[in-house]
Amino acid sequence: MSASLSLRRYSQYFAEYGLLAALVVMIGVFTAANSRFLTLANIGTLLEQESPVLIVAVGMTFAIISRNIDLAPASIIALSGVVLAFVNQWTGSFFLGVIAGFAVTIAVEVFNGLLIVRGGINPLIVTLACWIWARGLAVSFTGGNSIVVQNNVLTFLTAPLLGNFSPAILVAVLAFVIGAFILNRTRLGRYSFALGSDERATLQAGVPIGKYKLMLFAFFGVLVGVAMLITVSRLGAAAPAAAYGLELDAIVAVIIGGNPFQGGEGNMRRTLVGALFIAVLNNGLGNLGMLDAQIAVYKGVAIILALLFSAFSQRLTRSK
Amino acid sequence: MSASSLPIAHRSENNTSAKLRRFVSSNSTLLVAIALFLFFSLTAQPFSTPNNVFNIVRQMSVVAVLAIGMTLVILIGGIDLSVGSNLFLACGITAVLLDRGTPAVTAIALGLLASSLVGLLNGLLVEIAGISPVIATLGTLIGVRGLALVYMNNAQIRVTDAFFEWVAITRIFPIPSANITGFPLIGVIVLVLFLIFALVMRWTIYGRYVYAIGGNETAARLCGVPVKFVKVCTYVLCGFLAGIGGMLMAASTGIVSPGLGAGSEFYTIAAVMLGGASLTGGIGRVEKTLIGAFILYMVLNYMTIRRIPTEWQQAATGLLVLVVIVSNRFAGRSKPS
Amino acid sequence: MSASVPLLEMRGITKHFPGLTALDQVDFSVQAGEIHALIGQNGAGKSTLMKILAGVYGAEQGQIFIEGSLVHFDSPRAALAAGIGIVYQDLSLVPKLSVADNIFLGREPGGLVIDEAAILQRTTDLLRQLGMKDISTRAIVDTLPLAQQQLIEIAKVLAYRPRILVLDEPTAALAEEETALLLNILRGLRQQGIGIIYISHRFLEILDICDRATVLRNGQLVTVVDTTSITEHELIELTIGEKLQDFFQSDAHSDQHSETVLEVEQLRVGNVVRSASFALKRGEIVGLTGLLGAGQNEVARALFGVMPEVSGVLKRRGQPIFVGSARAAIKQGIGLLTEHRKTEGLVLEMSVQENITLPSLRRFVSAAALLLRRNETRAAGKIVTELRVKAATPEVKVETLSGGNQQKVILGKWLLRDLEVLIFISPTQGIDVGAKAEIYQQLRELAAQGKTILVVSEDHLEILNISHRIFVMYRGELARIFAANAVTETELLAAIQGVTA
Repeated sequence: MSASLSLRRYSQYFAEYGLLAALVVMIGVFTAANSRFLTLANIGTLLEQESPVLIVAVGMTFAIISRNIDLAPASIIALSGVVLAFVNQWTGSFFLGVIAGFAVTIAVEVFNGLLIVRGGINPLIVTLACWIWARGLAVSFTGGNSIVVQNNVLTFLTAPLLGNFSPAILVAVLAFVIGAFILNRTRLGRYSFALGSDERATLQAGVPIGKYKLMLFAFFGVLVGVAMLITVSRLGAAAPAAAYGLELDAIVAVIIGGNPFQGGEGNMRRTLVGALFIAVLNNGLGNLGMLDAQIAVYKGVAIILALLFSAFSQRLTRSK
Repeated sequence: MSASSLPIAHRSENNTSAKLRRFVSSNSTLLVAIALFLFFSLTAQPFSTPNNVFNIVRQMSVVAVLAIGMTLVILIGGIDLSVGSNLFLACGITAVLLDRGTPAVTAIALGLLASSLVGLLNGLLVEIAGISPVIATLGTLIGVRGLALVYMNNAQIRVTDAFFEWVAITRIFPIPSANITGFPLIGVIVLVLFLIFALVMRWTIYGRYVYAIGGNETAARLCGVPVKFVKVCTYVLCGFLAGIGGMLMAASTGIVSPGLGAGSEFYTIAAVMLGGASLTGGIGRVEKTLIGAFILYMVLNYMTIRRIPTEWQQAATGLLVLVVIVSNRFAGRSKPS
Repeated sequence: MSASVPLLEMRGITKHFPGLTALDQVDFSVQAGEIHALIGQNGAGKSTLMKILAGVYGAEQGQIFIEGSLVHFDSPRAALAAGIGIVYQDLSLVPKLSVADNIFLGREPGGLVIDEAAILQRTTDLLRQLGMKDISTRAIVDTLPLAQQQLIEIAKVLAYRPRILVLDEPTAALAEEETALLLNILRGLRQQGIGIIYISHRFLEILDICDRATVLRNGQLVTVVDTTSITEHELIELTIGEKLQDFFQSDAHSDQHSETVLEVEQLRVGNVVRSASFALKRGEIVGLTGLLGAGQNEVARALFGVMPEVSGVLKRRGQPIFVGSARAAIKQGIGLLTEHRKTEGLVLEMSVQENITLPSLRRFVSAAALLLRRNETRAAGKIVTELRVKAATPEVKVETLSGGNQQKVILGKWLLRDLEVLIFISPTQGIDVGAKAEIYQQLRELAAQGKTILVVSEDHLEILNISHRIFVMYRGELARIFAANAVTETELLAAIQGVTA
């Protein structure tokens, strides 16, 4: 009895901190292979590069915990960036552009939310369609070309501030802090867990679930807007092909961090570890002078291993 | 926009009689296809010319083949996002082998073997390791494309094999005098595959088990259906068909370059959805998926004819899928139980 | 508070369902500080009466008074607001939330930020008040045993501070210790002046804790009795009524069956079934019964290979067999039909024919691996005729059929598979009277054809009606075995209640 109990506790630690250990090992390997990997300059670059993924991963954590997987954020980033650039061009006001950009991210997310809540359509389908049409609109509006966006505030976002650390990193950190706060301390967070665990019981408890689902989508819209600003800032332009594949990185970050895909449980710390894992993998492999193709192989293998790891450690902790 | 005509067509025919309504709701995919075809023919002159129809068939061939496998996987309540990468892996391997002078038969067999193995991996990850199909196949989507690129050394490879060229060029019943090119051989291959799988789904134990599992997995298991085995087999079949799609892709483009087939998983899922399959499993037909793929490529082709920039076509596809799913949803809801 | 004005009074409540009078002019009243048992057999009208009280159904006639003033509930919310808290049998907790979060779900204290400290404090107070000190307020609900979940469900309702508390078979999932705890909690609540309505089939408990008992039979009020002046046998007789003695004229003879088909030795299933050993014989119908949660369902599912943590020896015609999955069980000639027709029995989108042939498809495969659909149609058609399934054609979807006909389809699929042992769990649950008789008839015919049949049911009349032998489970143990023609209804009920003769 006590032996199996300690085994269970051991496997719990393993599940909870295994990926963190893997992350540390991976950082060690990359450092050994490339002495410049673990320099402040590179860490700054790495974090800034991946800050849109980190921010979207915060929203994705809510989406997965509440069982509303969202494939659309990257396409919405492209579309809203393009809208921002156009409004900026037409009105000459960057501020209006930002407002329009955020209006798009929030409106599209809420539109998806309405289709899911009112239409009763599977979130996977709704956001898959959005994945296609939002990117398509972005390409259509621009004819496939990037639009340059020049603005001091925008440039400041990804300009080196302290050493190689830019404000974008601070924004990503803030996103995690606010995300963790909302998840753990507010009704929106509490109901995300409840929705993901048992929607019927949540409804029976008197929670207006439609309203809270829409709030979740709107919140995700805000985060996508922030990620869009950083993406545009990094490129100095709104590109219709921007952030391609970012949703995959964000979903993978949430899952390999150890948040179960079935929803109902999870936390921001796991997402942070998962997102850092992806960030280090992207940056470290890139720094080794690998081709994108080789990066993809290693990334794919690392992701599948991490998935297997979390699947089995969850099974271990669950078996009594 | 053309897609908005779908729900209206549905509604106007709904209020006549129960019999007609049943007919419409069980054949809605076909009726939509016919209505769209008529509409497109009337509003764009060259649309209904034989050559253009042959064109549509050729354009849809790869996605149509992928959609067969996707229909099976969706029928068992799963999904496979890796088909685009898997297709690329198969044609990459075959192209490299052909380039080294391997006989076509061996090259094709190895390409298909590789894509089937990826399907097996997907099946094992989902059914044995218990990872959700979206996540597991997302992982293989990333990894497999990379694997293929590494194997190809990230280069473009021409496919100059005579057999592939023959498959790409051959047309059935050309009428040169009337300037009719003839039905593409690739189209025949696609039709034969659909025929085979329509028969498999209807006339074999496997097909029956797939519907049973998708309809009610618990009941199927309690009936002694080997649920896990059938599901893993389905992922393998989906991988195998992705491989066939890859062969057709290699033949019709004649060149395998990085990025080939990327995003085709979404068009594939769109075709299956247009064919009326349900993501929750158990509902859907291979032959309806064929019509779904045809609808999708009719719309894309029409937009090309109307000189709607290709950039808009992706946006239109996404919206089309949305409109059809929303209208299906409401048609289903208003149906008397 | 004066005893003359009851806390709750329901007068002349009448409710019809299609083809059935569920309640006919029923009066019911509860005093403050009283635990009042509501008893009667399945279908007597207990649940309907409580659903009217909860605002789930409207009554066609009758009034409800609370502390003497007329009230009208048009929704469950209105009933809750009036102080009526109901603990239903099936749990409505969110499995992945903590105990405290579940109790306050949907009404968390605090403004923008949830006041977690208040939730924990109030939950701790509540649990301490209820004597559930050993349940951690932070524990995730689905990691707790079912019994504790049941107690939390009760705590959740009590957090609304109801004046009237309704408990529907609250002890079905509880072991002795937990039952004692629950009963203590109820005694405490009684002292606080809460009126408690206690629905249970466990008469020992009722005599232990309740002050009065209202007995319903066939939708009518039989009597209201004082539990201090009544014995358990009298309660049993009240719920059955007199004329029921001649209801079961079992034509069953248990002596003619000699050939043992299945033997079970020392079966254990988790901690629900502690010990069960028995043998099933060819051509006999065995009824397996007990109070809800006594372990009979688990025994049946274990024989079909779909329970975890099973130990014991299973022998088929003397040979030990291992049944680790449904597939293995079917290969050993064992089939299971459960009360969950739609979730466990049928593939609703498939046709009657396809459902019937699903377990036996291998038989309809040609040399070319294709299905011989004509043979399949013929075989399924034969079953449909044999079982008198009312379906337009065997091609119609099974979801369009009535419950009774769906049950026949499930039976049909095992008949076609030609199994030796058929296990039925609550075969007539949710099925109308006519179809019920037909299913009983079919069970008898099957037994006459030499099948071995095990029927699990909590409905003792059903069990008496069809069985040759009757096994009674009590608290996880196979307590008694009766020959059906040598047992009276009272004896059987006493055994089910765990009364040792």
